[in-house]
Amino acid sequence: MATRKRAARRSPAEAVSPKSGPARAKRARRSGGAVVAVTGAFGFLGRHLLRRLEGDPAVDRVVAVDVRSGAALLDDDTVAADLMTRHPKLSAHILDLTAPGADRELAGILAAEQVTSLFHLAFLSSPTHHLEMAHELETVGTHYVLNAAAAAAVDHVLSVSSTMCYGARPDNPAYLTEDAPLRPPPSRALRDRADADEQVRRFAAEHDDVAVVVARLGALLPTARDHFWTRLLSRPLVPTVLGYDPLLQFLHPDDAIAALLHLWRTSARGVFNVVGQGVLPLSHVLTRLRRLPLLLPAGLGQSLAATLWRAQLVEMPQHFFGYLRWGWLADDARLRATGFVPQHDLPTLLTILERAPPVRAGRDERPDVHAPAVHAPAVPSGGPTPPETP
Amino acid sequence: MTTTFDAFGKDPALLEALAPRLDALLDQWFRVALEGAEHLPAGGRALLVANHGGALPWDAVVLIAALARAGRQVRPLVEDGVMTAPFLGTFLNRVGCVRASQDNATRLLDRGEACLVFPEGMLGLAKTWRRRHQLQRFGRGGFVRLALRTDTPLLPVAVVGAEETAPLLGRIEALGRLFADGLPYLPITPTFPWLGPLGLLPLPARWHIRIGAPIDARAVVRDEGDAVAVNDLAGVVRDRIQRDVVDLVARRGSAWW
Repeated sequence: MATRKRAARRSPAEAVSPKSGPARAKRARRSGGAVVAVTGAFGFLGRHLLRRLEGDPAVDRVVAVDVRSGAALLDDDTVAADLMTRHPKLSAHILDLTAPGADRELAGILAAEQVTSLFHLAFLSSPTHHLEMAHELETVGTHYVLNAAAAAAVDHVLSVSSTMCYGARPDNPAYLTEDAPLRPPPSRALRDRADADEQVRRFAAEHDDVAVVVARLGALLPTARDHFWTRLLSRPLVPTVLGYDPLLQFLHPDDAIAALLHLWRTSARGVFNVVGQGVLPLSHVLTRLRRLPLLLPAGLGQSLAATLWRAQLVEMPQHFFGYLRWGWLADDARLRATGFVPQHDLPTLLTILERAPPVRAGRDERPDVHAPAVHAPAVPSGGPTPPETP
Repeated sequence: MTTTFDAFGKDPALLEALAPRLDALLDQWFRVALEGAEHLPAGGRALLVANHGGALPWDAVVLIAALARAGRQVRPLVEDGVMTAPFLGTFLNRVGCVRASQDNATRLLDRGEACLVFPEGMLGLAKTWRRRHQLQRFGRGGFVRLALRTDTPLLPVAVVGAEETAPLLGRIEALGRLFADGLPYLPITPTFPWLGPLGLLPLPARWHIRIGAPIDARAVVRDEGDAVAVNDLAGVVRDRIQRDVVDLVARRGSAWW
């Protein structure tokens, strides 16, 4: 926690490098603290981030941008009319990033709200069968967001990505650094995410005056139930590859948010892997959670997974099978060198997840950003709860 | 449950549980004789360079156990074809092996670990019985460059017994893939595949291991970019190990009794 306090002393307004040029002159008029916009603000990570930003004295206003009307998602009992009284710093905008012209609209919002920093979190939490929508959101949506950021001349752009973009490969080094090439499997979900990652890096190269961060987050755990890894590990029977037992690392959402805020406050630039402390083989993760492994030979498992995926019976594209077979650990030395230390280690995460009841596979759990179901957090706050009846 | 794994997948609890069985294997079955243990540094980085042989990489396991008894944990860097094989690769990883790559080796050495490399790689494992005790090409000098870059002492290690423990009589390339994705060939030994999984058990060959005096690579190769000098040093190390292997074979007498 010491690091966070030290970082907090430098408010983002001070941390911004000396301003020059016409765009800077315009921005210099803004006085006081930061105005922060968040895309995908009412998603799982977004809601965490909003809460932290609202409580940050260095932040004057928070601009939430989401396809959903988020009032109901923020607190259990907030209604839209209540939003301003309960969240005085917050202004919410409904915007569909898959709609043509979203960049123009977002640029208008950013300019009108005099946004200085933009967090781009509008990504899917799990692979989906809605491939077209996923592509429009992750790839084209990121394109729109970056266009808007450039047009509105914001100072900070922080985008999330995933360490899964590196790809799980037999010839991966034990630890992948940020300089490792992104070699995702031929799955649309990961190709789109890797493309968004690349777009943000290209944007950084073209905009020297913007502090751009790509935070490649490790597998998040525990999360809402519709997130990929939580859902996979919540099943009583988890598919594994016979004879293989890769090391896995997981990231607590609080650490993910803390890392994003740390990178923002320190005006960091560049790509950062964000992962939790410690590694464990998949088999031990399952033992720990008292889940049974469904041992599948590599070839059979892959074809079975492909068939089930095509039949839309499972939420795991067959290419995700590689992540249960080969190593894809990420090295977070670069982030740690900036003074950030994740607070949750892997055993703690597993203890938290251990308490969550397993969920049954079912079509109703499919993620759908256009009609999101409100999921209760997968983590009950105290003690074990009885398993849900289907 | 307090199981902890190190950052590279080693399971100390498993090693501890296996220790009595490994001791029995080394003493009663393999009758391992280790010379030159005094050359092993008690701590800090070191790069052990050994010859490689046998249908299965028993040498990695025997060296882990034998050197652990001599007071030093070593991390063998094992070639892809073995580390990506089902079960085998996972098991070797749990007892401390890591996939051979410059990146992994550098990370391990930076942690102050002792790495064990087999520069012959797959060529060493793939050599048949007829060519036992003959060292193959020593890679492309990668281990010398590694030692130069990380300023790590090189320790030549001669191993005799691996070929007799799992004598490779032939290889059937076409059948490798049938057994496991990425397996380059199906090994044929006196007992495998004839006896099924039982054929994977080691034959009771006597093992002799000799650790040579450390070599300071930087004293020999002044310029890391001098690829010829790098390969020269690789050749010198290879020749030293080959000489020790010949010597150990002569001293051992019968491989079995």
